[in-house]
Amino acid sequence: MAKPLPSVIIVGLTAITAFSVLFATQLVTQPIIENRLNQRYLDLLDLPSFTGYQLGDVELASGDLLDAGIQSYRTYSIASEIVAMTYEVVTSGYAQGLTFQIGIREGLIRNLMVIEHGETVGFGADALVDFPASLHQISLADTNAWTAALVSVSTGATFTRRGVINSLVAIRDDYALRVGA
Amino acid sequence: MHSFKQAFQQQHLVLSLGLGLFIVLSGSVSLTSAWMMSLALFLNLWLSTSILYLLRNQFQEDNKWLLIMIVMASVGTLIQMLAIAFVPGWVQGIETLLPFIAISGLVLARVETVVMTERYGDIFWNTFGSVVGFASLVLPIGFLADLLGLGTIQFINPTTASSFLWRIEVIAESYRMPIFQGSVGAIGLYILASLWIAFVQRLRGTKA
Repeated sequence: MAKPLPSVIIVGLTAITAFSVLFATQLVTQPIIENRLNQRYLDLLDLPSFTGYQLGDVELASGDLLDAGIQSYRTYSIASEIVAMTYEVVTSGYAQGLTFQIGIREGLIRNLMVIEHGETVGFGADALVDFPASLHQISLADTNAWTAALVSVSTGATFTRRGVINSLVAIRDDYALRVGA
Repeated sequence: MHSFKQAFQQQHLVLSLGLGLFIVLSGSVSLTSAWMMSLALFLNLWLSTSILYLLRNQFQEDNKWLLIMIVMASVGTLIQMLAIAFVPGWVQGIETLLPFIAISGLVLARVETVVMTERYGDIFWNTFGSVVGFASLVLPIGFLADLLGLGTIQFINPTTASSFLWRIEVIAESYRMPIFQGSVGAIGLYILASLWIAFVQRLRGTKA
């Protein structure tokens, strides 16, 4: 049997090889994951592609936004002017951890995607299924319109609705501040 | 086949339940995630033990465990990266748990012993036996979590998390039991896991 290499050499070579393989894998997989992530934002904003848009970084929320459950937001600009925004929200309905993303473009709510929740089946969970369609294309500035839309599909799910509405109020104010009503 | 039988029989079920918590964590999510965990465990063990088998002549007293840990952790991360990129539907909800298979793998497959075997074929059968033992626990629990919690028999499309390969509604909404689903479902699944372990032990004729 051949004499083993010195211990430190073999450990070093193994570590370098492992690092190289992981680095190469990262180079291959990262674009695939980013494309998929962008697809989610495209769906949120109801856009076919981001051609012509400058995509901002995902920024962590703070202050009033964070207090209302908004965890992060992202801006989308054309010619340095913000025209759309997406927000990620973790709020409380009847249960904690109601997580959703929402996309607003040109002042209209384009899409709401519920990521996860612990709402009760038959009540809040059912209302969440109907929320995206009820909010589609409603002006974010028109509080009465989207409140009425949510009320119309959430009978018996007051806490769930209230959680979403509280977040939307904060999003409305933030959007008006950054983009204009 | 002797290696398969030995691995299947000797896998320490109670330890894998307590240490890995994969049964609760993957099984409580869905049948799909239980399947993904089993698949990831197989690939992880097979790749790790194969690489370590090639390196075994370099094992010394002061580097053996370093090599084992480097290889197992790297393979665990590699499989996590590939799975998130190519089968996002299957890893939804368990992305962060995948690398921990490396830890569980040390216990389930007794890597140190396995890689010192003389025949490479034994490595495959040992891995297969360990994974079949693991899968026999997690798959039924994942299946029951879907069936009792969601009232469906379903399997998620690997390429996208938002569609299913199949989905059959079995139980009407008002008869479903959310206690078997999600993080809350851990309680129900612990009970199911205990019953299932008792059943498998009886089938094997071994003690936990």
